[in-house]
Amino acid sequence: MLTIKNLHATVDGKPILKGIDLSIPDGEVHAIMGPNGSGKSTLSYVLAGRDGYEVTEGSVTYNGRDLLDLSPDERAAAGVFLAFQYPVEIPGVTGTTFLRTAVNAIRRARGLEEHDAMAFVKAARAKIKELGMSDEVLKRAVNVGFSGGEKKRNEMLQMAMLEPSLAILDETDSGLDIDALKIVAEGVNALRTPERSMLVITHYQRLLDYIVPDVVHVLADGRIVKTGGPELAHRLEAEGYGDVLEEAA
Amino acid sequence: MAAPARTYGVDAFREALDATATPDRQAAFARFAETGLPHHKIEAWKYTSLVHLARTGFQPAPANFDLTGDLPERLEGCQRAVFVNGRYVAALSDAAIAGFSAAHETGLALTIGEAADDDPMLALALALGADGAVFDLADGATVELLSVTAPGSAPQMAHTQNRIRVAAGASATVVERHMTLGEGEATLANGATEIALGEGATLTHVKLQDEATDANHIWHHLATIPAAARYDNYVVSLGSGLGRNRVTANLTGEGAHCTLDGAYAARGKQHLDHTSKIVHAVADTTSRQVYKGVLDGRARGVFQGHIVVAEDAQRTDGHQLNRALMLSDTAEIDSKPMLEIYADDVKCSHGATAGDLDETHLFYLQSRGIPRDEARRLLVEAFLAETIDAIPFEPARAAALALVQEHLAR
Repeated sequence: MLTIKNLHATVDGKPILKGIDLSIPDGEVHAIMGPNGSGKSTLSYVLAGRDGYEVTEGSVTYNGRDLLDLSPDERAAAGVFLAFQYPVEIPGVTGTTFLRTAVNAIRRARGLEEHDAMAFVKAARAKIKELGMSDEVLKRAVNVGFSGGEKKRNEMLQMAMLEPSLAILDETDSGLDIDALKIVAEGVNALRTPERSMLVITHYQRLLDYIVPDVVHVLADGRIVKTGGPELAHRLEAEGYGDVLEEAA
Repeated sequence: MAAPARTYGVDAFREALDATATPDRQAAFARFAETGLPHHKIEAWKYTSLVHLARTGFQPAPANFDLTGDLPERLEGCQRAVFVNGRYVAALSDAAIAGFSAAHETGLALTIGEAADDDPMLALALALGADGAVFDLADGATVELLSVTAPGSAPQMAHTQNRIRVAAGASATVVERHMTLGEGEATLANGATEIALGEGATLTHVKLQDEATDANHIWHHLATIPAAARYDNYVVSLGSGLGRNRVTANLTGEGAHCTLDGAYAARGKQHLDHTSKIVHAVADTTSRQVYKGVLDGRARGVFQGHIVVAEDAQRTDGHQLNRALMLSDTAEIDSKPMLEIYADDVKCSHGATAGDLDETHLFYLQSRGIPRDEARRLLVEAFLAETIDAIPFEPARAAALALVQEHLAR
């Protein structure tokens, strides 16, 4: 269970989040929609613990722990996973080294035995196959030379390997054509379980045709101004943000 | 006329010169004595002065030695020659290494050339270098040259002169490893390696330097690269309190190519200097240089890259890049690229960057559960990996990577 209460955050001293209240029970998929500049990406970075995103008020608890008190790696070990809007290229670090180091760091933090090289490669290959990807992702440097769509699939692979209990998808649909979108959505849906929660952040409704949320929130100017079911996403698509925001104001 | 500049260390090192030294050695020493130990006023040594070595009281390393600890495993696919404190040790080396002889048996005396003009240490190596490796390599030769420093109860030095020749059209690999075994007083390893390639020959030359922190390691590689020949030099410098790796490469025939790649990591008070000079003497030659260093603590890195393009050397293609990763506020890098171009139809470039690790990279790794320290180590290793991955001989590449990983885990 993720509980966000009255969350305020600034970037470079500028207030971006201005009092967010949000609860995501285990197993539920919530979507956050909002126009550009509403604070969507800031919220995802604050939850993941990025430097430079300063929380000035409010609290975030996850499964009873104060999430804001944890470093980014501790949050990951606690089960939080952020799929980046712009996955980061890391020259010189191969996919194998990256994934294996991450998986083992999390296993270690959770008190599990580390995977040896063989066990890791076997597990990774199985997930790669499930996601319909190529083994190239293990051999090449992290995200280097991959297309936008491939990078998003790489994020899905990481998510599948790290088995988070809360996945935050930050504009996972941006830059994807419809085929790539479907593939990524399939990857996400395959990871839906009765225990795993998801927070799907998006500007457009079309992703939510494939990843159907339980609840849709509308974010505007750093606050959640409206909450509804999946039909709210369709209304936003049909009418645009203007009317809905006006109605909420 | 100006008063002669003050010199350092001439008397201290003269004691080591055998009274019966050959005229060549006497001449080399005289050349050293003109300058004495290198200091900041010599352009090529601007950032690396050795005058303090005059006070250390280095004595020639005795012929007998005690080795504490084991030699590293011989690199796969290599025949190995082992030198301890600058002397060939047949008992530790492979028997009958094809194309190898020890310099003291063959009486190798490298001739002093222009390169000694700004390198008194090169002159000193030729004056005092009693032994060394002489390789005359045929196609397919793959050899390891292991140089072990075994410190003693007093400061000791070893001077070495090596020669590597590769037959015309042949392709060969030489892996030099420099390491310290055991503990003791300060050491000085000073060497010169002359590399002469036949036309169309290729030499892959890897140097792995991991000496102890109270070691001084000074080496100069001088390569002549004739038509259609290729010299690829990869250096990995991790050890020695004071280390200098200098390469002079002369591209003397059309189609000649030279690659100089360096990876180094320094911490504490280490001072690691990589200095190169590439001379494009004729038309249609190419060179590539990438040196990457990681500096932590109060370490200091020096890179001086000098490219000379002669008047007739049209269509020269020469590029140079120096990148430094600064992990502390007290580390320092001095970078001095120098292009000296006399031809008009050339493509030459140089670049230098210095910076800390990328916070975006660190956050991405941390967001995947990797603790910050481990993430930093991974990124530092990746930074150096670019150079190490370029080493074409797999056993040397693996050894280099293992050294880097061990260094970073210390």
